Formats: sequence, structure tokens, C-alpha cells
Amino acid sequence: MRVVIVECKRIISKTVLWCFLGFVIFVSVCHVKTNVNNENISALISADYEEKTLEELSEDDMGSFVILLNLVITALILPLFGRDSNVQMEELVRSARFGQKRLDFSRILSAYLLATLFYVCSVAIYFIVVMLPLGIDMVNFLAGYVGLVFMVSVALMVTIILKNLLASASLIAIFYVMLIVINQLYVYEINHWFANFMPVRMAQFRHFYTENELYCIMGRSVPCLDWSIAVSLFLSVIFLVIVILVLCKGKDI
Amino acid sequence: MKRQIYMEYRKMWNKITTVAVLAMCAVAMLHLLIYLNLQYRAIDSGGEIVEGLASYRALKEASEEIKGTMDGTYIRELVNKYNDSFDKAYLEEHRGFLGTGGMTKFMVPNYFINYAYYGAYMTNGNDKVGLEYDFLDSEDKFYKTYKETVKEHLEEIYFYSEEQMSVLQEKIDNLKIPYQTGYYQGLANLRAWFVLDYGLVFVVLAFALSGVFAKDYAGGITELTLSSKYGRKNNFKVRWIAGNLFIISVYLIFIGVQLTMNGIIATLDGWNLPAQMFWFECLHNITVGEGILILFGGGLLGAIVIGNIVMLISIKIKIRKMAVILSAIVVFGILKSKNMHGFSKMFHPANFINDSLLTEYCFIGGVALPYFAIVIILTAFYAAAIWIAIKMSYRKYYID
Repeated sequence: MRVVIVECKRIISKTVLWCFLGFVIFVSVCHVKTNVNNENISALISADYEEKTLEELSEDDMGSFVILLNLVITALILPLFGRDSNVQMEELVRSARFGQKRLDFSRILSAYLLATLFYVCSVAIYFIVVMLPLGIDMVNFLAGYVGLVFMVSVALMVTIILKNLLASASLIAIFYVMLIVINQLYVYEINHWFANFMPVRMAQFRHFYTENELYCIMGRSVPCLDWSIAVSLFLSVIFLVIVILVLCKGKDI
Repeated sequence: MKRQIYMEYRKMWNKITTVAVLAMCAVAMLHLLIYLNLQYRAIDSGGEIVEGLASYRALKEASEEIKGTMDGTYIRELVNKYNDSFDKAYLEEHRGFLGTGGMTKFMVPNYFINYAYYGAYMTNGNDKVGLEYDFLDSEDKFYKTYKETVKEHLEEIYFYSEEQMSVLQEKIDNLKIPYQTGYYQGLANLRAWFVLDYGLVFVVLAFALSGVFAKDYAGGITELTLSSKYGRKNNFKVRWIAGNLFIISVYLIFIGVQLTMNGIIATLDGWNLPAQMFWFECLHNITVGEGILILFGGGLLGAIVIGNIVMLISIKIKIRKMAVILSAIVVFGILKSKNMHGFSKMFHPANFINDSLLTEYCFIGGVALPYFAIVIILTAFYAAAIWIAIKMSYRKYYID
């Protein structure tokens, strides 16, 4: 547990915390201005308000916020396994008493713990600033969180295989750009068999409610939201298994 | 100095750059293979619907029937051919065919003819391929209508003044008609995917060039660099030149991937068709291939501006990781803010690949400067300004 805390502290410095908090508040305030559009909050929640539906207000900007948030959190946890050539500590750390399996396990656990902590705190701040008058939708929260878990698993796998912080960061950035381009081009087959399980489209919550997409799994009709969450989590587990296998293989050599 | 430039250039091809460039190529290829396979289908010469990557070859073979010069005889034959074709009957039955990735050999000439009617409101779709127009009675009537439509399009969309329109009218009158028509779908895909994936080049540059002037990176600025005889002035200039060479290399790799993949899938036929077949309101007497080369040139200039911005960030921040983060934020901001309107959009480097390079003009007095000329001037200005900023920074560059 102590190693987990140490690894978490390595990532969460004061600068990082303040910058992250500033980013969340800045985006939340921007979305308040976009949503409210200079209207009075009391008019927004009054029975006579007819400008936008509750779903539109809650999903339009939260989707883009969650996409950005996932990218930023993924970038923050890259240094856990990504080697920085300037800081020649890896060999020293690996030769320490708990520098093998316990360290690897602690780093993996730290990655998911930190991601969860950052995500929950960010979304809580976002909701307090933007959504409190309108209510909280836990389903969107869950879909966004599963997307984040997927990105964390991808980031862990990439950093462990490449062993270089910036190389991993560039690969993840290009992967994200690819997902954003795919999201802009609507092709049913690509969305149905790939993009629906990826974090960018999972954060576009509205399509789960308006497109009525179903998957036929073993004779049963499963809603898109449920199947997307299941497949995304399954893929995350596969990437985590790859991470553990690569780490174990590294020990054996 | 050449040796120094070569060594600095070679230093830039490290693990990070290699991974980023390979990822860029892989994403560009995957996009093309998957989307061009899934999205498109064509009606071949035998009236069969061919789907997937084979649809382009089928369309190319079918388009041999409609290749030619659009003079009076051609237009009359085209009308008869289209009215008696399987394609017309199929389109009447399948209303959404052309608007959802469907292709027919009549697309190119029919869309061009329909532009003469619809002008600025021309789109693709089943309702934009009909040929029931009075102005198709004669070649003169058709091209007269076409030229009037181009004039109306320019007046409506680009808000030129009367004096400016009179200058453009001369260009309209000098258009070399009649036009050739044929197949160019491979080039159309090339242009579309070049524009869609262009942002990948910026992402690669943000990661690859952020360490050029960093002090905490082995390939960056070190005490040894600054203490050598030509360390400060010469080495910084050499790095800047190597950085620009690197930008050109990465961009050429990107273009190479696009040309290769689109050439293999749909061929690059149609290179010598007039640009007006593709950009209806273009007033330059150039071919589609020359137009695409101009867009590629604009893309290179945009990449040079972005690469130089990343190098400026590198020398200002001096810490590689921070420079990467700031460069990524700047690139993201640039890509997000590119959807502007009006004259100001051409100041934006991400818009240096816009079709406006070929269709819009900037007036200086009574002289109409095409936008691709403005882009060259803007790039020179941006690069000069950034170079001055870099030069001022390296005079005061200290490691501690």
C-alpha cells in the first residue's frame, strides 16, 4: 500500500494538481456560458423554459468535457511506466527490495486509482458548476468512466511496450486524433463494430438514447449502451493481461 | 555547415519521431482502407452494383464511355445516353444512392452540368444529376449559362464589389472551354482524405520538434553546444534549418502515403482534366492535378508554420516535456479553431489546404491575387517573424 501511495504522490505534484483543477474549472465555466448563453439560471430551470431539452443541455458539452478529461488523465498517468531518459532512476528502483512484482502491481493499481480519483473529482466539480440546477445522470457518468478505464489500460500497455514516455504519448495522441476523425465521419459499420466501444464515441452520450442501436448477442437484443460498456471493459481487461504478461516476461529474461 | 545540418537532421529521427511517424502512416492507411471499402459502391458498365474497393476500378472502366470533350455533340449524346441508361432508372428507384457513397459514371459530367443550374447551392445527390435543362440545346447556350452561374456564385458567396467583379469577369471570359470530362474519383478521394488527416502531421511535429532547443534532452542544447566556437549562432541556425528539413520530410511521407494508397485503390486517373470539373467556380486555367499540387503546396506551407511555432515554443520553454504539452495544446487549439469564415480564415495555417486557395481572390487595388499567392506571402511572413523570435531567444539562451 505504501508503494501505491508513493507512486501516486510521484504523479500528483502541487503544480499538476493546480493545473488540473484550473483546467476543470475553466472548461466548466466555458460550458456554463455556452449552455446558459447569458440567460438567467432561474429562467433555465423554470417550467416555462423551452430553449433546449434536459438531455441536450446535459449531454452536448459534457461529452466534449469527458473526451478532453480522458485525454488529460491518460497523459498524467503516462510517467508511471514511461521512462524519462533524463531521470536515470529506473535501474536503481528496480534493484530495490520491492522493485519487482510489488512495484509493478502498485504502479498498475496507482494508474487506475489515480484515474478514478481524477475523474470523480473532475466530474463532481463539473456537475457542481454546470449541472446542479439540472440534475445528475449516473449512466453518463458510468459510460465516461469506462471510457477512461479503457484509455488508462491502453496507456499502460503502450508505455510498458515502448518504455519511452514521449513515444507513448505521441502514439496515444495520434490514436485519439484517429478516434476523433472516425467520430466525425458517420459510417454505421465502423461505429457499430469499433467506434461504439472507444472512449470518444462513448463520451457522446446522446447517441445511446436517440439512435436506438441494438446488438444481437446469443439471440438476445442488447442495448448499445450496455454492450459498449461490457466490450470496453473486456478490452481493458485484455490490455491489462498483456501488461502483466509483458512485465512477467521482462522478469524472466 | 552542411555536415552539421545533416547531423542535426539525423538526431531528429529518434524513437519518439519514428513511433509518431509510423503511427501517422498507419492511421492514414487504415482510414483509407476501411472507409473506402465500406462507404462506397458503384454501378459498373454492365449495370451491376459493385461494392468495396473494387467499385473504383469498376467505375473507372465504366467511365471510359463518358470520356470526352463537352462540346455540343457530346452534350446531346450524353443526354440521350443518360436517359436510356440503367443508372438513371436505378437512381430513380434508390433515392439516397448518390448521397450515401454511391457512384455512377455520369457523376462527373452531370454534376458539372447541374452546377450551371444550381450554382452556389450545388451539392451531391440523386436530384443533382438530371439533364432536363433548356440550356443544353447548344454548346454556346450551355457555357454561357455556366459562366453566368459562376459570376452569380462569386457575387453571392464571396461578396466582391462591382469593380472587383469586373476584374473577375475578365477571368471568367478567358476560361478555356469546352472542357474535357472523365474519371477522377481517385483524385477526389485523395483530396478528401488529405484534408481529413492533415492534422496528424501537426501532432507528429508537436512531439518531434519540441526537443530541438530543449536543454534537458541529450539531442538538445548542452553546455558543449554553447561553449564551442560556432556554438551559439551557427548551431541554432543549423538546428532551425534541420528542423525545417524535418518538417518537409514528414510532410512528404504523409503525402507519399496518401498518393500511394489512393493510387492503388482508385488510381490517380483524371490528373489532366480541367480544374473546373472539380472546383466548379475555379477561374484558373489549370488541371485537377495542378490544383491538387497547389493544395499540397499549401499544406506544406501550413506544416512549416506549425513546425516553426513548435520550435519557438521549444526555445522559449527549454524543457522538453513542457514544450510537448504546450505544443500539443497549441496544435489542438489551431485545429479546433480552423472553421472560420470570411477573409480572416486564410490567416489560419490549418486553412492553407482549403479549396479557397483555388477559388477565392484577395484584391489589392485593382489586382486580383489568388489565395494561394496570399498563403505564400503569409507563410514567409510567419516564418520570418518566428525566426526573428528564435534568434532573439538564442542570444539569451542559458543552460542554468
